[in-house]
Amino acid sequence: MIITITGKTVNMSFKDLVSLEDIRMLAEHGVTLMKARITLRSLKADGTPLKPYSTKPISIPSRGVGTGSPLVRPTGVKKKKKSVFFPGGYLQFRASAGRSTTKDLILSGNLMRRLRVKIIVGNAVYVGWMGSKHELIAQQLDTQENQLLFAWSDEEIDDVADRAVDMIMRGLGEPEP
Amino acid sequence: MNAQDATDERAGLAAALLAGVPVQMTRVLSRYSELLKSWLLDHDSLSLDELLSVANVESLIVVFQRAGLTEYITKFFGATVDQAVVLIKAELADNGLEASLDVGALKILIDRRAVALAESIAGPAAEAVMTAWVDSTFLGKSLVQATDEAVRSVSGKTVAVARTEITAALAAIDRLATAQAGIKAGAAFLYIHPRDSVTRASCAVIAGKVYTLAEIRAMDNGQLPDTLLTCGGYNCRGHFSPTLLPVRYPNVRGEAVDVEKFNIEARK
Repeated sequence: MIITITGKTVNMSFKDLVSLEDIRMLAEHGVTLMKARITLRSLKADGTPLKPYSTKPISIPSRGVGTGSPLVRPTGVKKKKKSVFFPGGYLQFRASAGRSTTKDLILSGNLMRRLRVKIIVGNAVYVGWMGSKHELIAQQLDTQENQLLFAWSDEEIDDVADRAVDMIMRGLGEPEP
Repeated sequence: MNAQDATDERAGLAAALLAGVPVQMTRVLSRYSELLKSWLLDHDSLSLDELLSVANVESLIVVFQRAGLTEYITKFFGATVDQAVVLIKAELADNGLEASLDVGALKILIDRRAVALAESIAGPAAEAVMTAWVDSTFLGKSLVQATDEAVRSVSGKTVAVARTEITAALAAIDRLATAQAGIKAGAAFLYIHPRDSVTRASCAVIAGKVYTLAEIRAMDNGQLPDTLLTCGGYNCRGHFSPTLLPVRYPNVRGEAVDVEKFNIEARK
């Protein structure tokens, strides 16, 4: 199977050995490993930490920001002000909104929640987001992390490959290794 | 593949789609047919495999929208998708391809559980919820914009209440799309949730741990039904992401005591 996310592909040769539903579950398992690495451990695919959130001064719109509802609004909004200035940048905004200052890519939770297997054609699995808006945001975030954010680590690939072997062995009625 | 072959392939695919559409949509489909012809011309340099890649499937759905199909979504779209998926699969099989078109979002539209959940959360706003979700999922419309439109269509509620309910319903439907493969495969689920100062105490108990479907069903967030789809309740940022057992490091297996703690914290 070939897994594609933000234009990057991983090729695993399981075609005809596991069912379409198994391929889908294997890919979803890989996506979950990726989400856990990013959100729970703040790591890139090469095992190094994600870049810290920006400290470049920034104005956040009073109506809030985020990749979907509900928008996260800055605290201390004054009447008729269209935005709130944060001299400490996006990092300061996150802290003021009670969000983690260690990068976890979750503000409203929409981006991570909507990441999943989109479609399987033949043995090609397309992972990503429905709608171009989230895809675009993901690509920008990926670029910031040198294409090592929504990518597959060696451990993640090995884990998915091991699970595929388990499935194949089960399908053959053999004891799992 | 020559140009004629490519055109024939697309015509076959279009015929398969059209054959799956209920008779009530004839008027919409005459418009759809015209749009589809121009869509086919726009994509005549692509192979069938490329044609079915994500971007092009999405662009085909935009054709549905322009033809006015979304007006019929709540009444007929489920049956359309059901029939069209079968026919598209047959068309692909004729071309030596196998496809899982029922993955994720498309099939959720006809999942009774999603509709029931939307109704239980948003009551009369269920139709607006489904339309908002379809528009944001397939048409790339901002979820914020789609939600705003849905809120405006709901009468008898304050804007704030309508917005919260619709957002919760949309998030639940999204979670169902994400969890679907795990439910079918009998897999477990890792609770993806940040750890910060606004995290509910109940969510903090289960964040980063893996639970079976039975364990998740024993969880009660005290606000909304079906914790798999509503997690910590209104405006929760978490979701359950499918994972295969056994759990391997660095992920952590949750315990039965966590379920009890989750329920206790949710009731506080």
